Amino acid sequence: MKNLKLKAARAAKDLSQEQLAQLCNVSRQTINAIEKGDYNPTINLCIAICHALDRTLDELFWEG
Amino acid sequence: MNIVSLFLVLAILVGIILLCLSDRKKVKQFDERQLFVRGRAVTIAYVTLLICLFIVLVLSTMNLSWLDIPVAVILSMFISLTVFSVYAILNNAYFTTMKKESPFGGVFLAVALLNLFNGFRHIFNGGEEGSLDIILPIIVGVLGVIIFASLLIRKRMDKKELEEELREDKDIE
Repeated sequence: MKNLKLKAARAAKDLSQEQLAQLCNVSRQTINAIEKGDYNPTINLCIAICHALDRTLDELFWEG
Repeated sequence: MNIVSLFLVLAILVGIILLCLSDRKKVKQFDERQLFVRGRAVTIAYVTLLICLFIVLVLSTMNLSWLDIPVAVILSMFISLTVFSVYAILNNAYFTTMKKESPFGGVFLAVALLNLFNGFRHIFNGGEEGSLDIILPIIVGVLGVIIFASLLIRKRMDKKELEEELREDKDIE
């Protein structure tokens, strides 16, 4: 399932996948795979993404 | 020492030298998804190697005149290595996160073409040097071309992904 919340949060911060990847110290393809729902990140990477986008885990990764 | 033993000793030596020269920090530059993909690639390559070696074992019991066991074993290793490389390249886990462009693409193609040229040169010269001189360069050449082709496919996939990202980001805005 696509992670549209992550995509929207990234776009709101005006960051490209490449820029977010650099902030989180991962490859652009990894961010792309998370957004497309092809890869489930570990909690450490989720936290790194949340820090980079100034969001909480709930806001980006909780499917409520 | 025959050519097969020499080749194996040289390959092991080159491997040890590369390992000693490599920057250990670079290993950490693979991100978690890349490490996961590489682990899966190793498993697939290992199973491929087992299957190839099993086929060689079965063929060796048939006393086939054209079958050269050392060549078949080396060929199995090359096929296994290529399976790993292609799987890792297509899933973007072959190069570290720091390398956006594949710096070895040209090298793969050059090595492949040189080997193909060398193999076909032996064939056109009558192939008197023995099967190892003919088969190995051609196989290495073909596998090199396969790896180069997978690099090109990955590059194309990356381009498509970037275009898709830009389009979707515009839609969100």
